[in-house]
Amino acid sequence: MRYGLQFRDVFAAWESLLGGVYITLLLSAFAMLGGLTIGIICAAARVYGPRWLKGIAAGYVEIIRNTPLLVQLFLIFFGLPSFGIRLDGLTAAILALVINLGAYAAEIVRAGFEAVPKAQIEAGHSLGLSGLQFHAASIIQSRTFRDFEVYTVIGVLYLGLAFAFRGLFAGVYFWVFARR
Amino acid sequence: MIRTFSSIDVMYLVAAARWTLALTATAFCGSALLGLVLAIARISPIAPLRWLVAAYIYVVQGTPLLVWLFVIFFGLPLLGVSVNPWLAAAIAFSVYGSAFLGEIWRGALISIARTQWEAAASLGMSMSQQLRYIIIPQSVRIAIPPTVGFLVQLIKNTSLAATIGLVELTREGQLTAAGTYMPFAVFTTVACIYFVMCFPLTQWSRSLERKLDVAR
Repeated sequence: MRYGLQFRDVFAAWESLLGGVYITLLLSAFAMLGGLTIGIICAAARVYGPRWLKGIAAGYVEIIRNTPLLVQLFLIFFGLPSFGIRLDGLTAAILALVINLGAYAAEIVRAGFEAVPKAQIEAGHSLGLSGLQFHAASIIQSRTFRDFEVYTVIGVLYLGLAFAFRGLFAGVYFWVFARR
Repeated sequence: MIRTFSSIDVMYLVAAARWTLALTATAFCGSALLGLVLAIARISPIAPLRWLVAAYIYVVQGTPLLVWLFVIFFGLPLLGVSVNPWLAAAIAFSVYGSAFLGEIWRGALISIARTQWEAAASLGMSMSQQLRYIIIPQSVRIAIPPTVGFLVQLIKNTSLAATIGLVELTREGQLTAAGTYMPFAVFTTVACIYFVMCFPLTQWSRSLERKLDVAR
């Protein structure tokens, strides 16, 4: 079967893709801020808190770290309406990401508190997955029927974001730690 | 008629966890084979090979697994291979896993002291003999705890295969939730099953880490 790659239709929908990038950045920013806040509180509770608080924080971290993010997302988005709590997609996504990242951040910060570097690989993983970009993607895809091209472009977009943020954080690191 | 979420549904979910485990096993085998090659290529004396592998790892780690899953799922038919969620998932998870295992194992390999290489070389061993008899046996001990930790990541990430229609634990959960209209109970059960699979591994990885520290 011959198949010519056609990216024209995909790039024609660049506005949707750009909107998706914006949502991804928004989700990442919220997840990092919220996650780090929860993480610091949890880590402090685990290292310095009373016994019962330690138990709660440890339970939270273990439950979140041993279940998939996708299932947590489903539980919040599809499960909570059973209790009358209806969240729109964006709110549910932010909530799930904050709760998820909070557990990983708690481990990282705790490690910092205890001066043992670990759980870094897992933390990296937890940042790799985010994005309502797929929502935008599914819209473009249904308009263009160019699934492969759409997801290739999205992959490159993510790579660009990852590249930019690695550079940014390397710069921050250099600025804060290495310059003196 | 809407059926209720009963013990039989829980049994179905537990049965579906088999496919999660099967996918994890397949993905881990693929990742391990490819990852070993990548790890060794990363420390090879041939510079262009090192750069090529570094670029591969950079690209794979810099893009979400979900995108890989979609690119391969929608890309395979373009190469004339029929759309098969299993094949697509196995390839995507192997590509993803190899990049991470490659880096983990590279770390284990380069953590062995330079003098070990030199000692082996002075005994007249070739590069492959040095690796096989001296370096790899020592680095395996260091590599095991993070590898088990990665296995937990892999189990959890196989849930993404639900998005391309592979009926594993998460997809079965979606189907059950749609049939019973009790998503909270269903997804809580699903989460519990994942927890039962992952938690022992997490603890194992942690205890291995501790043992290794004591041994040093």
